[in-house]
Amino acid sequence: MSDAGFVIAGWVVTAVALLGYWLSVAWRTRRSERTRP
Amino acid sequence: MNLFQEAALIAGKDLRIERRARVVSQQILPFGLIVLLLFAFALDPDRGVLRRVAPGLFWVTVLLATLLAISRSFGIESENAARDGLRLSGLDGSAVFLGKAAALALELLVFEALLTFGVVVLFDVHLAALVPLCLATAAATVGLAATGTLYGVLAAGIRARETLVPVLMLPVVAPVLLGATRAWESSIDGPTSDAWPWVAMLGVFAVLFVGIGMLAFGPLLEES
Amino acid sequence: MSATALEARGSSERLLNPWVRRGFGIAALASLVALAIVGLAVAPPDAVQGDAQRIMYVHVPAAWLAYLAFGVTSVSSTLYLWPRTRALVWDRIAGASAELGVVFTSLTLVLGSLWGRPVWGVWWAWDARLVTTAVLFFLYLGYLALRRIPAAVDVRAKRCAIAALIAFVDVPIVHFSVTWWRTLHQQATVFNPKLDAEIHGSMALALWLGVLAFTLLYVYLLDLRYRLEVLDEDRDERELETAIADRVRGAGVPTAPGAVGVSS
Repeated sequence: MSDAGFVIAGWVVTAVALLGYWLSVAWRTRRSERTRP
Repeated sequence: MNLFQEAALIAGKDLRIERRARVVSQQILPFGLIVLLLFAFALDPDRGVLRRVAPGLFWVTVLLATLLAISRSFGIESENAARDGLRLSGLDGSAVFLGKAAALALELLVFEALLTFGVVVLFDVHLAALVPLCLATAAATVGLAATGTLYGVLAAGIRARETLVPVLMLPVVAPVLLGATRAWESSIDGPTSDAWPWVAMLGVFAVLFVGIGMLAFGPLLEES
Repeated sequence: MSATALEARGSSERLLNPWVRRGFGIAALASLVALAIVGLAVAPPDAVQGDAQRIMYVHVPAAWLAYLAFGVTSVSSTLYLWPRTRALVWDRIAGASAELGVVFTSLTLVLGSLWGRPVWGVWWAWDARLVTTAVLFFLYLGYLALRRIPAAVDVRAKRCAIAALIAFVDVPIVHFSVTWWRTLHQQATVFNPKLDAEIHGSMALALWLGVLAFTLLYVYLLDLRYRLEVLDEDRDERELETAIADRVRGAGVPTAPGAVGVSS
């Protein structure tokens, strides 16, 4: 893999991680809200 | 009763239980020796590999045995409402900590002495500079016993205790593993002078965690 | 919890005013986009490392964030343990920040690997900083495990606070020992993951932009995660009350009218 490949991989991983974590918090929040009386 | 008398009381209790139940000698020591054997199976017994990595293997084995010993040390407190008994006894939390940690340290030292014998025989290790070796071992053991007793009480009363203590404690005692292994290597093979900085670091770790334990044990015991 | 109590709680479910939070979120997004542009296009390739160096523009901010997050956890844990400042808000912040810290530490390690492979030729090196970061990761992973224990909120909070402070005390020891270890046994290493002190121009801009973007993102995510912590706490409390009520009913113990399931 060329250097550019590693760079792209790094930035993609970053984007996926940040987005994924944000979605994870949002989803877990929705789940907790739903079980509220 | 002063702090040390109370601690001696607790240590005596733990050691008496151990003498009757013989868990360290009949279960944990065989465990240690089996682990050494498994390491020999896993690694190449020829070409001096085992001799070179013996200090590391020794201390990893001690760490694993410590986890078992902690489990045992607090396992005895979870029967017959023993923890309630400790709380109601009016003994100072720091004293209970010192007592349990001391008992654990003594049990570990006995284990280590016998395991050393195993390492010398099975891995063909020649122990040279005994002074730094013993000091390093003593300091490391105190550090492990203090940290172990601290995490033992932190996880006491929690159902997942057995799996929680390792995952909490092992990263914390990484420096102990590092220091003890390097001190042993220097005592066996390398320049002995290299061992002393590690002995000092182990000493600092031990003092630090005995201190933290003395502070935190009482409050943690109150609510476990 | 009664409806009025919940309503009063509503305002304390968040650390920030909703508009402030949204502001942080938008600012974070904007600066992340700017970072991508500057880091990938505007900044020149490194003289020695070439384009591979561009990973630094996300790797360093991620590492910065990990340290920030764990620092916040340590301070919050101290505030919780200190009797005069004890309040559950500190425990929740500590927990929320720790999770963020673990996520960003993982990201730091992965990005470091992706940077190391083209530049050093290896996915991992037993360098003092890498090893310390790995231990840091495991220390707080254990903390997260401790947060999940089934226990009363204040019991769990105290244990977590103590575990967090032990981790905080341990990190310098780990770093010191590992640096020592690598110094004593240093081979002729050419690894130099440290930043060049001579960084300037658009490369410096990209770096600072990265730190800014990630910090804004941290504040935004912390607020989101904090609320989740509050909701989960409520849910655990309700489940505990239900379990107790079931147990009491099952034992046939007569309860006072209206006493079941009511708290503060």
